[in-house]
Amino acid sequence: MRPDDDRDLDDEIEATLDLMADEKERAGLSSGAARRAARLELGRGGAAFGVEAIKEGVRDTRPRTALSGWLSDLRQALRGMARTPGWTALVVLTLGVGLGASTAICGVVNAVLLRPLPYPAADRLALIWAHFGPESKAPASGHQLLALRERSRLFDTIGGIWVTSAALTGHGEPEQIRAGFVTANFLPLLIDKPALGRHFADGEDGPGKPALVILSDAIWRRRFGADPDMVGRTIQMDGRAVEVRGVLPSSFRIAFPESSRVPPDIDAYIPMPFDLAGGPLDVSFIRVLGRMTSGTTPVQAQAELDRIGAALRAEYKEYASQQLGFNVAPLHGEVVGPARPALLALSGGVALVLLIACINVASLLLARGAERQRELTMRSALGASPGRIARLLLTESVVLALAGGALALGIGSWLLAALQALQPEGVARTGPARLDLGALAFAIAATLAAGILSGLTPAVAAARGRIAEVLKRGGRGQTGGGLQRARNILIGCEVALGCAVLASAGLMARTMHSLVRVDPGFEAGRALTLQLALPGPRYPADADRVRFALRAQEALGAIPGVEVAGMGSNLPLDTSLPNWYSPYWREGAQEGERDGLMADHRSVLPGFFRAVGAHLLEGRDFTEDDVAQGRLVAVVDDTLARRNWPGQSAIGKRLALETMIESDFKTQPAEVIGVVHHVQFHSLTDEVREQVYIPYSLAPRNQISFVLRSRGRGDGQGGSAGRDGDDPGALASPARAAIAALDPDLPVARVVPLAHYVDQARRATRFLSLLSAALAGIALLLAVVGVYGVSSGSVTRRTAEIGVRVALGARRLDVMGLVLGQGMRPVLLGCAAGLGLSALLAPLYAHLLFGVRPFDLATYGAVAVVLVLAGLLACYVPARRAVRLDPLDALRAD
Amino acid sequence: MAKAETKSAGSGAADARSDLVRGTLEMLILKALVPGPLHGLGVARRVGQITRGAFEVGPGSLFPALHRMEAAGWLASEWSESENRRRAKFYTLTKAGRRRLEHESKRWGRVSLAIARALEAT
Repeated sequence: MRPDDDRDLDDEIEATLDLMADEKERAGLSSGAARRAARLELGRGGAAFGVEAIKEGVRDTRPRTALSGWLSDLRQALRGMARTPGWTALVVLTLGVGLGASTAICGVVNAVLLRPLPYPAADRLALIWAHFGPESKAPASGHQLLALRERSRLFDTIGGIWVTSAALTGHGEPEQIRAGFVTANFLPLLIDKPALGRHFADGEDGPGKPALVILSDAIWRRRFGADPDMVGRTIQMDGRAVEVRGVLPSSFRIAFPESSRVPPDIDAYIPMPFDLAGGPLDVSFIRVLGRMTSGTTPVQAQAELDRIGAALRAEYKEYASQQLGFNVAPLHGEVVGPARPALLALSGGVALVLLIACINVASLLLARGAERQRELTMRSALGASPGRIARLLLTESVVLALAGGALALGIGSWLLAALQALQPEGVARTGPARLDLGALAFAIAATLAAGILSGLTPAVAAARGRIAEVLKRGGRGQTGGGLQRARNILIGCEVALGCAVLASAGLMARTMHSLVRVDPGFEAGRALTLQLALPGPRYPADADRVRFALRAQEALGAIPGVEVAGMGSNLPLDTSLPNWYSPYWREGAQEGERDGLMADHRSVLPGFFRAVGAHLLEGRDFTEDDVAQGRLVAVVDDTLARRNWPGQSAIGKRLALETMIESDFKTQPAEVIGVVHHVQFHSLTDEVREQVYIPYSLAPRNQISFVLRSRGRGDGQGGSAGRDGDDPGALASPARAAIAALDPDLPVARVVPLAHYVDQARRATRFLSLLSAALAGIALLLAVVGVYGVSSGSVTRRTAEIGVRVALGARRLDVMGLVLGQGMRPVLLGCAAGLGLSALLAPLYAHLLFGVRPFDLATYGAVAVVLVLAGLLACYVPARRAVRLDPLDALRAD
Repeated sequence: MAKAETKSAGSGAADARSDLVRGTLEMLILKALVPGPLHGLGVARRVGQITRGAFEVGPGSLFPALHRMEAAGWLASEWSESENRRRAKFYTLTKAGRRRLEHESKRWGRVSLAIARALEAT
């Protein structure tokens, strides 16, 4: 029914009343009496009642196409909702926030955990890890890669990649890029065809082959202006001319687990120039990716790899002593694995919040249904069939659900964008997240069902002829204590669930706090870092690299404001560079013990420890002399010292360590001259491996990093890792200039404060604690809304009773106490149940926590206090209304 | 038309009866409007007149009938001034309405004849 039609009908009936009144007046009645008589005649049984009945009758005659029928229902529904704007807003907001948050987070979880990787035959791709000694997920050596390729029948392709950096020159500023050295068959495993050009052909990898490169879309656009004729062009990399073979599409990203040190944003792929067959058996650096033949299960593939491992151990004594073996790990599982616990915990939180939202809506609809009992009964008395009433209720629920759904879409897409912006690298690598419309549809359907159910109860009661009974009750829409009990139980559940969500958020916040306070073994404040990759062709000999590194360190240290400059092969918490670790053993270890221990291997110049702020516990730092003489000396971390020489000083003890002199790997004995506190190189929370530091000249790698510690205004002592101290950013341009003065063609990469890496290491936890805080906020808000709704409804219902109490002399405080007491009962009970629930749930996500126990009493106590305060606030507003009631008004309220 | 009638006949006695009443009311309204446009109350009064008070049309059935008939295209309506200068909604017979009246009158004639015969037969 169009509004025009209805207004027209109103006018017509009004006009008819006037005409009738005129008639009566002409018949001699006074104008007032005439009007009353007209009303009576028109109504025949009670004023508004009659007019409404006429209107209803007319409306029923309207030609009811399906559309106009629905429109009429829709209009009535909208009218009904407009009569109770507060209630409508609560339902729509609850739905919008609850559904929006859950669809967004489901979208992220879905993108990360469930969607297949965007590669051809992605379900057949698997990483092949080597395991030896204590290392279970190690790269393979070239020899091992070839052996696997040769002997495996269940993998149709086995390729490998090793990521390092390269210098791009000859075209504007020199730039350091990430380069992936790949076997020729590696990229075809991940993409059918480059966007431009073609893949490397078989046999184009290996030593002495022409220099080729396949570029990423990003660098093609940034560096080469998206030149459509890029294929075949020659570019300068590491001082050599390299021919561009192809350009990858913009959507292409490598999805490897973070621990593999194969980052997603590789700029250039270069065929491996190494002689894999002739290289050392046990220099492991290649991440191996294989594609199983179709129909092969990972279990079958593993069995085959076990056989190959056994054969290799039998043939090569090096492998036997290492206890070499291989693990197959389906790529998808490896990629999403690290994110899975956090995302599952998050999904759990979302489920709780969604449940709270549903409970809220159910409670609101229940209250509404009861309040509308009179209205529905009236409609039924006027002849509306139960079907008609059901349709009206359905329409209302549809409108509510759609409005909530629309709001949810808005909130959801906003939240999704926020989540993706915050999401740390290494979480969602399978593809972009989308709103989970399936979850949204399900939730909307649930709302519809709840709306009809809660509305139908009164409708059915009416249809069963209890009309008189309902009308007699004076339309306060009470269904007695039953409804209040039901709502109290719902609110209790809601508070309990909210408590669990709050507790988890509290524990995550404590975890974040612990992470900020944890001692990472270095001081991030006042330190600027930069990275260089010395191109092999221009720095071929060890001496070239050592000389350059020493001069650079000296130049950087001479910049005004720099207290000390240090140089090392790796930076703490920088996981982008290849991590070198190797076996070591203490002097005198038996043959059998020798392959049991691994240490991260760092080559540094004197001053590195001071520059990063590592704590030297014993002994001394290296000297320039140690470097110049190539003395076989080492600094170890306290973990290694404790393991090998418990209760003794490590100084003067001897270790067998790997060195790399003129690209030759050799294990040599070295004397321990110092012990430093363990430096967290991999994560803030885990001590991954013991550490060995040797002078740079014993392993002059071409990847080097510098740390510049600026002179602070403070004493430069103490303080935890963080952004305290002066901004080291001011040193960036003098540092670039200093390097450019030594070698203008050498790109200076990643000039960032050391604190940046600390930030990065905290990102995943910060992401989680932020999300859980957001969820907790929503849960708290919904719980407050729920408590408020129930408490306020109860005050409205008991207006008359409260009036009587006040009339009989109850003081304001008594009334306040009455309302608060009644409102707080479900809150307190829910809170108690919620603490129990939290204690049950906490062990499920205990592995995400750090520095706080799952049953942290302080956190639980704080959660209880917050909930009780929120509950008091929610009850206080209606309580104040009750206190301010004028007893006369209250008694009059029917 | 024939088809619709069979259907309504088959749908039960109650329907047939209300059809009869509705048909009668509609016929009377059409008849009342033959001389010229009338507002709702006027229609009710005219029906009272032409049936000599035998039919009193209450507003509860009058207005739904008027609207139904307007929707069916038998009546047209328009707001204008009444004799005592009140604004009122006036209904006019349309061409379709006249045809309908003719049809209804014939049918009514047949039905009443049938009833009269039936009554005579006993």
